[in-house]
Amino acid sequence: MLAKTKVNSTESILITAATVTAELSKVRNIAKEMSIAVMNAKAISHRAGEVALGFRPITDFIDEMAQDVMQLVIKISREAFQLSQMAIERTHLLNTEQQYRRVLENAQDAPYVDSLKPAVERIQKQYREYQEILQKNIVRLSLLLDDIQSSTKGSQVLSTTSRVEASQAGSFSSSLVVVAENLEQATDKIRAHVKSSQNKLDNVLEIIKREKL
Amino acid sequence: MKATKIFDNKYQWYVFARDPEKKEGIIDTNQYMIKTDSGTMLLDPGGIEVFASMLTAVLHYVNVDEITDLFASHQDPDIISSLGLWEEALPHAKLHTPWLWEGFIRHFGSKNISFAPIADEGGTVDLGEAHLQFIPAHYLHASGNFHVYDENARILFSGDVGAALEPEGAPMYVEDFNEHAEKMRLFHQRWMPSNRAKQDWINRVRSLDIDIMAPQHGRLFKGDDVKRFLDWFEKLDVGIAIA
Ligand SMILES: [Fe+2]
Ligand SMILES: [Fe+2]
Repeated sequence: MLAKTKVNSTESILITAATVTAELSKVRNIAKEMSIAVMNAKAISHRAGEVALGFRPITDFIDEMAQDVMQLVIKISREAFQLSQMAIERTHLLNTEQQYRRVLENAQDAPYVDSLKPAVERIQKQYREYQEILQKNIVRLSLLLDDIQSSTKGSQVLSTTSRVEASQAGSFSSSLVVVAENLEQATDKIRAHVKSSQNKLDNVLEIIKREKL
Repeated sequence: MKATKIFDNKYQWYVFARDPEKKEGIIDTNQYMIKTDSGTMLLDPGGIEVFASMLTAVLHYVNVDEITDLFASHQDPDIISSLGLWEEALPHAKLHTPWLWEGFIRHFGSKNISFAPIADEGGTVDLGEAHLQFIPAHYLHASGNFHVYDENARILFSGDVGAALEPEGAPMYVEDFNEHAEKMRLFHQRWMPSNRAKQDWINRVRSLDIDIMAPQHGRLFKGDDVKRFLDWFEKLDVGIAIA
């Protein structure tokens, strides 16, 4: 019965890791779009000349942020994959431990049965280590997601400033206002995807914490 | 799982087979163990499904940490898919297996086990008092495949050669060769691909002094039945699925 719960928790980890990866791929697409939009904005503000000067540092900032987010996505996706790998290895330990315990029960009358006990203890110790590492990795993953949140924080403030700057760009003002508005929407979407990933990680962490061998 | 001692002089050979707990539809397998004072080898230790029964049976004869060597004649799941389960208990054991299959067998487990690949021409290994020879049996049926010959015990472990498909609970030894031959026919015709490989193996094995030929499925051949098998196999046309 207990073993079944543990296998289910492996399933939860695998599903969570896959979901986080999927959410992150959406984040990456949004960041990519942002960096393309910014290239556009740069071209527009260049043509606008003097009146759009105030907009330029803003585009540089957005560009940097988009690059940061894309790099973080790559890093976090890699870690999420490692999390799945580890969950699978932990399942192997669980299966092995289950089989060995079955042997210990069935071989009670076997003269050499005790020789298996150190192996069972070794597996249980390894399982507990895995358990700890898994939890640490999930926490680390969540912290890396926080990094995405912090790097997008600036853009929330910026979207107000950029709207002000855009409105002063004369005949180019309307195109730059669109950029400013998109920036706000994109940032909100990224933050929502990240938040949902973090919630899923929190849930799976609780499931793992509840388990004992 | 039933254990039968098939040799006992300074060291022992055991065969483990006829597992009553085996699930339906899974081919019955014979697992072998050579136990000496300074090391124990499991030959074709079996699939995941028989692992628990096999280990339970083994613990009646030997401490698990006395198992120093594993041998896998080839890469089939009924031979060695249990590797990932065994290796957790055998962190220092060595697996002797055809070099050809090492990369494949690692899919079954390669965390703790160390691989001792066997070259195409075969080789030898000393296990305490037992001097074992790896006899090439390529294409019978796997393209990289070895049997194990123990000159002192005069036992040839013959992998899938000599295998028979028969109902559960069959006796351990062939009793009436002609009757038994019918249970081997399809297996050899269909699983063995090459008449040339077959003849090469027969020539090689005829030069060995064999009391018991011990296959991985079905019954063991004793005394004259070994010769009867070689004659029967020589006449049999194999690789029949080629239209
Ligand atoms: Fe086979
Ligand atoms: Fe087989």
